[in-house]
Amino acid sequence: MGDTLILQVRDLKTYFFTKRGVGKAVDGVSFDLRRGETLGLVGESGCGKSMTCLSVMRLHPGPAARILSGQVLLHGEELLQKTEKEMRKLRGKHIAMILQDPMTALNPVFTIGNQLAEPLRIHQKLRGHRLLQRAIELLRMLQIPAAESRLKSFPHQFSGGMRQRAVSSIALSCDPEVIVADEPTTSLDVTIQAAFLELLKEIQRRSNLAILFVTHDFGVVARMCDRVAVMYAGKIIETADTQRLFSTPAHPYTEALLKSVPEVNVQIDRLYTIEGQPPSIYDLPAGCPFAPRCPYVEDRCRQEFPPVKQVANSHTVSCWRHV
Amino acid sequence: MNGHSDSLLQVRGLKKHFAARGLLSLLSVRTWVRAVDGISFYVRPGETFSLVGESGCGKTTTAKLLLLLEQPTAGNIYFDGQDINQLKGSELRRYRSLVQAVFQDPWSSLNPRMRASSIIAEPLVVNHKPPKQEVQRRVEQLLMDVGLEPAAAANYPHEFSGGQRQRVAVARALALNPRLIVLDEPVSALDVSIRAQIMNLLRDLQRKYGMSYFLIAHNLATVRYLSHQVAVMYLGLIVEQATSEELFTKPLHPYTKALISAALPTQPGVQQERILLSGEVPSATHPPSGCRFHTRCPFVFDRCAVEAPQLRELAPGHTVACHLY
Repeated sequence: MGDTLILQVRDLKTYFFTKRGVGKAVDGVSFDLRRGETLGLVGESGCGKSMTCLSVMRLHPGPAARILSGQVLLHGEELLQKTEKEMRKLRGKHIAMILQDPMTALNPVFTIGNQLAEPLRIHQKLRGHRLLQRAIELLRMLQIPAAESRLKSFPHQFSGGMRQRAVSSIALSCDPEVIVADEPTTSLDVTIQAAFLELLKEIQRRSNLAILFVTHDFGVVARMCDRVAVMYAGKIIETADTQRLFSTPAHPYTEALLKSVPEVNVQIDRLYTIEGQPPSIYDLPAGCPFAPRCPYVEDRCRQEFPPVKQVANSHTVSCWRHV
Repeated sequence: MNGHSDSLLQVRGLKKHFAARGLLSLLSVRTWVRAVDGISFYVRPGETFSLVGESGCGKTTTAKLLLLLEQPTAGNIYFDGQDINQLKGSELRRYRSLVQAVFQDPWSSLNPRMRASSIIAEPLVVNHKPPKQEVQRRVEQLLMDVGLEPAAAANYPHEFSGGQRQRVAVARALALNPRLIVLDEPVSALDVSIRAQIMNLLRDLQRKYGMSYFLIAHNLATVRYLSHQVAVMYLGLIVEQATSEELFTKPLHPYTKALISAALPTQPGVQQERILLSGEVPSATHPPSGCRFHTRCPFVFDRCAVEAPQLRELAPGHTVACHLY
């Protein structure tokens, strides 16, 4: 695995400005992504993981959502200062995205071939025979059978698993260095999911791709990710190597989440539960957002958000217990 | 399957075929989607029977047949020894009140214009027309049963979180003291930390009130946690059935093994036996000949494409349909 930093996110803040007030969707998120590495961004719905991805891609839904501050560095280049025109040249070519629902990611009235050819025409200026050859090659790489004839198919003629492969082939078409995958397997069946993850990993090994992998499923993390960042209420509360996170989670939220997941291979007597629910981003409690649900809560937690503390090599946590 | 006197619900040779629309039907050639194609099982009182399988395998159609939302093409469903499709009048009403359902998506299963109290009280009011005070008392008790504050009765669905909404849906299902609750993916739309809460709630309620659950889920860990009996479905047929413990520790059918190996690990680096399936689930309109799984089976041999395997009992209470055995 190369150790070159490719994507750096520093203190990113994306807030929603709506009639309900200010929603702190992404509230000071920082992480690094290296070549050939998969970083998992884990959390429950509404924790800001998707909004983090969209902000990195500069696809956050304006005007309600605004990036207030922070840095997003791709190859050391600041993305947040770029114009929309400059961003368009980058998206698809250097950093591409795979979305959760392949049916809505694809345009229903254009063929797969047409949609796959678009980035190749725009970014790589391919035309005619070479364009066709490359499109077929990409569908083959994603193991879509009968690639040649499938180019003429429409999205509705594909099954769910094939659609996600088609979407991925579009994302991978221009050999980007970074893929942002937002819950790419959530809508797939288990056996299809397993095959898709395996394929993505193999493509990653071959092309040294860096993947930011958003998921709520610790099983997917265990299978896919080298490192994990756990998000809660707009903040990254813990970052560690996958092995380490599962064996010695430092944040009470991570620990509780891991304990509340049932296992296939073990008969569990009773599942551990975290009482209550995540706070609203429009009405965050003072101090640590997990404090109202935390079994180890102290007075200090309710007043001040804990600083990021390194507990081991490449294992950081934001919790007063570790300060 | 033999008569099981201790079963609450018994399903025999159940089939549901849907007429497929397409160009051929214009030429009055009928094609059929064989969603459920001859399945038998029984559900014991106080136990959870689960159907697992991938989308399109017929598990939701089976649930709809149990809820009388669809009429079977063939086969029978017996509840307390009576064929539910023969029930009429008060007997039918009684069945409908004794069998309730909780659906996957609590955002669409609750009427957004009704308060929680009316949602939960509706089955009571419709069936028994009890006096107002009694309704109120019962609603309060049901809310407590599912872990909500009695004050929540005045709220509208949008004022609840996903987990709380699912609790309201469970309270509604409990209102008439049902003996069977059909749970169609009851936790898959919920967040990880909320899932565990609802799964524990369902288990506690079953222990407290002794009703049976008919559970449909694709997440095997959920199934293992909640079930007593599990049946694995593939393209409209049950391919394996056993107790939950037996099925997860000694799976026999290659499809069951593949499903279990595709279930994601809860620890990184755990090396399990991996069976990756190639291809996709074939169409239920033209299911493959012989064993329906033979097109994706890693252990396929000649006989599989020709002859459909019958369900056979290989160990006490453990049946499997596969030529390997």
